[in-house]
Order: sequence, then C-alpha cells, then structure tokens
Amino acid sequence: MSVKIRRPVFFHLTQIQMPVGALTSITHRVTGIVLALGIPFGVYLLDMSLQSPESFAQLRGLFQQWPFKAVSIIVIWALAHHVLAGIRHLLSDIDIGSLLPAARRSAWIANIGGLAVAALAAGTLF
Amino acid sequence: MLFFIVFVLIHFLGNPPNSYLEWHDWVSSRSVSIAGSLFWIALLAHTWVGVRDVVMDYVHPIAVRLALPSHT
Repeated sequence: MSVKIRRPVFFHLTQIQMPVGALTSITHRVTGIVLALGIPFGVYLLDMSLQSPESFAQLRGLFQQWPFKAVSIIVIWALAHHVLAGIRHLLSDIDIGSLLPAARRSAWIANIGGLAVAALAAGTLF
Repeated sequence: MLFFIVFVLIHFLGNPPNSYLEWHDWVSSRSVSIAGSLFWIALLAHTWVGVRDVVMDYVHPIAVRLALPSHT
C-alpha cells in the first residue's frame, strides 16, 4: 500500500462502454446497497401491517398512492435483478456459464429478467 | 431466502391477505414465524457480508472504515 502506483485513469463517463457483464455486476452491487438501505423501511412497514387493524388499514391506504407504488416497483426491480445476478454469480462459482458467450447471455438474462419482473409488478400495481 | 420469498409470493397469489386478522394469523402461525425468523437472520447476515465487501473495495482509509456501521 505504501508504494503509489500511477494507474491509468479514464473518467469520461460518456465514452466508457461497459460490456454487459460489467453492467450486470455493478448493478448487482448497486441494487444490493439499495436493498440494504431499504431494510429498515421494510421492517417498519411490516410492523405497521401487524400492529393493529387501524395501522393495517392505514398502510393499505398509503399503497393506493402512486409514489408508494413507484417506490415499490423500484425496490421490486432491485430485488429481482439482485436475485437473478446473484444466481448467475453462484453458478459461475461452480463453473457454469463462465465462458464468455454463456456469461454474456446470462448477463442479458439477468438485466432483462429484472426489468421484466418490474414490468410485471407495475402491471399488477397500476 | 429465495425459497421464502417465492413461498410468500405464491401464498399471496393463492389467498391475498384481505383482512388484518387473516394476515396476522398467517404471520403468527408457527411455520411462518419460524421461517420468517430464519429469513430475517439470513437477510441481515447477507447484508452485513455484502455491505462489508463493497466498503472494503471503495473505502480505503482505516479510520473511515472502522467508523462505518459494518465493521471490517
């Protein structure tokens, strides 16, 4: 750590083109952080649903409103993508789909599958 | 965790909780509360490992690392 190596730095964000696997990987991280930040809210909502009939009804009322629906769709997308990309990582740990063509295909499946689940959720909620 | 999520989703498809009592009884039934407890334990353990991995990759100063909630 004491030796400073000058690594090449390229931060032109509009010119960086990430391969699909990199996109899946970084999205897996981002969704993981989003989900971790969402845990306290999830516990709070679960508690609200179980505390009393009044709070249950109140919670139902909240989720009739579109901002709550929109946030839940984002969280559902994050969870779906995180699960799919996580399965992909586990499979590549046991050497399934590690070769580039298969890895690319599974990366596309994870990215599009996550969006598909989100679209399904949006169709159900709205 | 995945099995628990899928199990809850299938339950919601079959009989969505339409009343407080129905929902409360289902959650407090023995099998669901045991599975739910295991789910939360696994979720928190997984969150800890995952957030720690991310912190180790991006946060290098030791002092900042130790100050973050997921001790590395």
